[in-house]
Amino acid sequence: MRFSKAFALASLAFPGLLSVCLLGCGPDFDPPSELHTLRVLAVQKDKPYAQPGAKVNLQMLWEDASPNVGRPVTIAWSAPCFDPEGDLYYLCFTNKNLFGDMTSPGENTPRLGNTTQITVLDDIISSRTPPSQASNAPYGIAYVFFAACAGTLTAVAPTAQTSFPIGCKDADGNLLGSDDFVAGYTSVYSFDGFSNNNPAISGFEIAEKSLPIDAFCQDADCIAQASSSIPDPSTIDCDTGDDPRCIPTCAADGDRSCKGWSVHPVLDKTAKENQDTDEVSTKLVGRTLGEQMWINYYTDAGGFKSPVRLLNDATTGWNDDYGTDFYAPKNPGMVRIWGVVHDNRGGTSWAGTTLKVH
Amino acid sequence: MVFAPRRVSLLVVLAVLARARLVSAQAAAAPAGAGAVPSGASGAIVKPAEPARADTKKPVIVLPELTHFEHAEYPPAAEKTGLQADVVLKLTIDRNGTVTKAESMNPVGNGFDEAAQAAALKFTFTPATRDGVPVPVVIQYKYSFTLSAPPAAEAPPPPPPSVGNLSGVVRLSESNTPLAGAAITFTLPDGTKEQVITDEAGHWQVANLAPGRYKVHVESPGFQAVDNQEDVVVGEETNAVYRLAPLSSGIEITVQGERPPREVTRRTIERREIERIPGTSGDALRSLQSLPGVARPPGLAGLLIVRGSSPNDTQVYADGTLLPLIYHFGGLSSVVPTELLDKIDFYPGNFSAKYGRVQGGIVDVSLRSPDTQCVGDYGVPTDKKGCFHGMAQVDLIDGRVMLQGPLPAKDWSFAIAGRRSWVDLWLKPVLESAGSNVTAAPVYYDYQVIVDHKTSSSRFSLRAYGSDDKFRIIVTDPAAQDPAFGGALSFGTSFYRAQMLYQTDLSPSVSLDSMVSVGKNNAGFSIGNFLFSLNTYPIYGRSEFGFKVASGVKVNAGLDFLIAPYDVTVRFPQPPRPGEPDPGPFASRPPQESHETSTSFRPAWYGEAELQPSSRLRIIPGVRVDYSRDTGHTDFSPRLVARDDLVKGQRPDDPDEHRLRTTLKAGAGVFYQPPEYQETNLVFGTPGLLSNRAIHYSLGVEQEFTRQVELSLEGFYKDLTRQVARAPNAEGSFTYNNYGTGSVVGLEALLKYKPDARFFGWIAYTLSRSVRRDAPDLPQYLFQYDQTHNLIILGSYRLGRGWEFGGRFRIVSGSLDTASLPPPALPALYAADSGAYSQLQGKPFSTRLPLFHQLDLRVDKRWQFRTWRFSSYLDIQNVYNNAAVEGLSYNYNFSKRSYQTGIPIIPSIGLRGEF
Repeated sequence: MRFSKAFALASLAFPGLLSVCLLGCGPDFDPPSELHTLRVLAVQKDKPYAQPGAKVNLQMLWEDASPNVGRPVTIAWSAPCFDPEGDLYYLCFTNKNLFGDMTSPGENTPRLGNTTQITVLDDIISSRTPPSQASNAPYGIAYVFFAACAGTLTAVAPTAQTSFPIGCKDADGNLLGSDDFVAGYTSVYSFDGFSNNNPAISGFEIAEKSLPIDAFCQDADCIAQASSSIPDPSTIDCDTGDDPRCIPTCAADGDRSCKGWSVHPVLDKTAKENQDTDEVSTKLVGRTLGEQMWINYYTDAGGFKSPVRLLNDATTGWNDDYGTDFYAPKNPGMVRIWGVVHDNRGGTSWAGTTLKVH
Repeated sequence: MVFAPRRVSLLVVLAVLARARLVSAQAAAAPAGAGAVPSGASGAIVKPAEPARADTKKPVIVLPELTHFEHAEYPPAAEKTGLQADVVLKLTIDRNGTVTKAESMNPVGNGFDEAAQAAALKFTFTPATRDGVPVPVVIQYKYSFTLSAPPAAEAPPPPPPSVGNLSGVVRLSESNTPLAGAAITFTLPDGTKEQVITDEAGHWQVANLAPGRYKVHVESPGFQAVDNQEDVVVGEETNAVYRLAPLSSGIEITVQGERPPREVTRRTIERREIERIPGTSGDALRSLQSLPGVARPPGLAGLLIVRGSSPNDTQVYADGTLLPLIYHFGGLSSVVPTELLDKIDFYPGNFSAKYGRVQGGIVDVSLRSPDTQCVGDYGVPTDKKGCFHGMAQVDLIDGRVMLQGPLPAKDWSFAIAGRRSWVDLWLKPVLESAGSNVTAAPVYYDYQVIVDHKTSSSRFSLRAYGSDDKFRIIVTDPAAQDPAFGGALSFGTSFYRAQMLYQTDLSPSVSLDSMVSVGKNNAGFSIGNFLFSLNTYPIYGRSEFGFKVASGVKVNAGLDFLIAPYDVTVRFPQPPRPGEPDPGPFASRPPQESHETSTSFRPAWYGEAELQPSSRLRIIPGVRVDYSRDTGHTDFSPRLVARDDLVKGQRPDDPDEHRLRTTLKAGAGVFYQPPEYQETNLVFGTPGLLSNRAIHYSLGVEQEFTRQVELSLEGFYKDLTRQVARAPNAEGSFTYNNYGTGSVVGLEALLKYKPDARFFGWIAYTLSRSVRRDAPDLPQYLFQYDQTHNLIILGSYRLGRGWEFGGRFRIVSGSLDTASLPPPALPALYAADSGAYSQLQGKPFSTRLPLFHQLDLRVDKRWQFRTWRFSSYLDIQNVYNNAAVEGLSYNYNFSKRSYQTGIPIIPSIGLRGEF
């Protein structure tokens, strides 16, 4: 039995690990946490692991941080793509009607809006040959693709096997690039008897002081409902009050010598949702293993010390030091920050707040 | 009648000082006058000493010096008849410098012998000494009887000078210690040669030389010879200082019993080259990357990429047993230290039937027999054995120690060595400042114990050696590109071996070479819930009999086997293979697990015939049969190699005559490589796969231009079939198959200046193209490690006085990368479950990164003390700090890209003491 590739891969693992550890030694790109364009920040499924036949609701958190404030953004969802060969998402692109008919309204019109719903096939698991090793749990997978377009959605001819089947064009018919068009996918796994909860996030703290959580929806009704219960930060008088949402400007954007404000989404590590067992791995290993969890931080101005922080490690457990530091921008104004919590089984939750930089 | 010896000479000193021979040390000069005019004692004739033998012990010897000369009485009868003669005497001089005995070695008669003996018995000398202690000595002495010419009526005015002199001193290279007995040979303009020997002060002189440029060759047994040119100027004395370095430069790697190659190409790197190639920090196996046919690996990847093959297509053996890895992590250094290597044989292709189960190349390192050779003062080698040697070395990467010497039992010896890296000391703070909690900083060890029994006809060797690399951290700032790669990370590889070698001549025509080893390999990697753990317990065995069937016919037959109980656990999502599109971040993909405990059994039989129908031609047909129990298949591998010396370098009837060798060489053979574990595993792979197959073809020529300079040109072609590939299946995983094909075509050139006393170096160039196709209906693509051009120029020059300076310049085609789809297509999709983007890749490996070029320099300085040696080096990699491109780096959504650059300028300093 040859294992030479295993050792060759192990040889490659070291530089790989080093590059992970020393990230930041590479070129100086804008961190992913700083929003300057149209961005999709998260997609949440109410059932990260869904049973066959279950209905799954999906909603998207997106933000258009481009200078072109208020431009219309179209959100579209694909029909679910079940069990592609090799679980390779790009093999779903061979389905010409993945997003429906882009040119004529009707049954095949793309599903539009910030939310959608899919129904998992009844035989999503049973239609597949069971794994050869009993410890490997049988499963099925449904991919759902989405697009956020600051223009008009259009079908595009594929140039490669991995080409995304729709594009986004401006008023002149030119295809828009990544600043104005975001496409992506989420996966809904079905394991027989296994479930997963989205992480529970209950608040937001800055400099150890609690802040109100913003509503995260783009629907007018939702925004109106949220606004009625959340004080408008633009009304804060930072010159007289002691509101924790007031932070001073920095001399320059990205100035790390400026005061860093400790940002800390509130997560109860004892909450059931945050203590999910990774059932697939537990079955494999024979002892209880937790989830791998992390937090992505985002802001539309200023920056973070770390764009991603470890929240829970499957083997070593909870990381209490999951917060990061926020550095204010040089220009005063309203700043929004988000924390998006992920687990490694498709679970996602988010929270955010608004600060006033003065 | 006036007479006198023109010059009394110490002719050739066959001095015997205790048990050592001595060499005279007096410069020769032309006779001061012609005819029969005695010229007095000061004009003694000195003839050059015979070159000392290789086993002569030297620099501590002080020769006797004549303090009183006694004129001999000219035999009257001889004087009357005008006879002249040279009498060669053997003088015995006691500890006081008194001549106790004078014998004529070749009596000339006519009373000359008696007269010379009588005078010589009245000579007095300063006592000869060894290490400062007076000792008796026997020398040869030439006493010349010449008659004076009639006085001239009127002496003509002296002519203007038309000649010049050469003089100088010879010293040890690392000190000012004079070297007595060194032979200095001058090649005169007419091609004739003259020789002088240095005196006890290392001085030498030659007078009355015609003006011009003279070739000078300085040699002394036990020292590196020096060649130079000196200009003789009319009326002047040219003074030169030569410094000779002892041949023993620490622990020698010697190629013992150099056998004719059984392969088309075997590249053997000599010890000095290994130690001095810049950019390698003196590491033996890293020096392989300076040879033709070996591609430059990606930065920090400890991979050996040979002739366009995958790194795991090349295997590394230690005296026949397979090593699971060649380098410690990051390719920082080899798992077997240079000090314990006897030689490294590298076969880039078309290797002997002795090797199998691999379709790329072979590296076979031989561990050395412990060195028990004694050395004299200042590192001068001696015949004596039974001495201990030790070494300690530190550099910025690691520290190592070694001790070797004799064991009490006759012909037994031992060596023990160990090494530990320092990387953890400086890398830990770096990692922690980058946001990682380092629970076990990167560290590696290796260790070796050798016990040897060696006689003139056999060798029995027991070894135990191993290596261990570890690294554990908790990454609390995961990479935004795939946040699942955060949290607890651990990495480790280790192996150990207990090995026994037995090599003997069973009879004049039958030899046996056997090896058996047992050990353990371990590789482990874990991150979060993902895990890979492998333990194997390989037992290797190989026995080869060599039969000299008839003149020019030798048959080698052998068997080897691998029995490897193993225990492997893999818990990972299926990773993509090279060339496949990115399937998205690992973050939310459920792992699959395979746990298996079994035993692999792979026996093989092989045979080769070394046919030599003439002294110039060697034809080696061979065959190998491999069986693999895990796949259930048998592979049959015929091979053929031929070498024809169109011009033979050394004539059998005249070994001293060396002609410039021209050799044509060619080979073809079939090579099989069984599939990897994960390819045939029930969970991850597809049972029943066939072995990968490669057919190697090569044709080349070797041409010597001088004794030192040789050019090797070789073209090669590899036809790859039955390569393991895979395709996705409806079950969500992949089905493996043998539909893969590929080819590698290339040309290797090596223009080499073989090491001499001063210099070694080479220019290596490889031109190649390596392609793969995963299935007949899929497009062909460039192989991941394809490198079109690879040019390496290196050299190292001994400046003298222990200084050596070297440089290596490399210019290599950039690595291949797979870029994103070009606009207007989207370059990436947002993978919402991980919060990261997944690249939408274009044609695999279709983007060639910019040319790589790098200059490395190395300076060594060695101080030779009487009983030990200290050396240091400064090895600077990437001297002009070229920002070499190692890969493409993208922003978070792959809409912008930039070059990821490699290591900056890195100086490395090493210190070493040894005795």
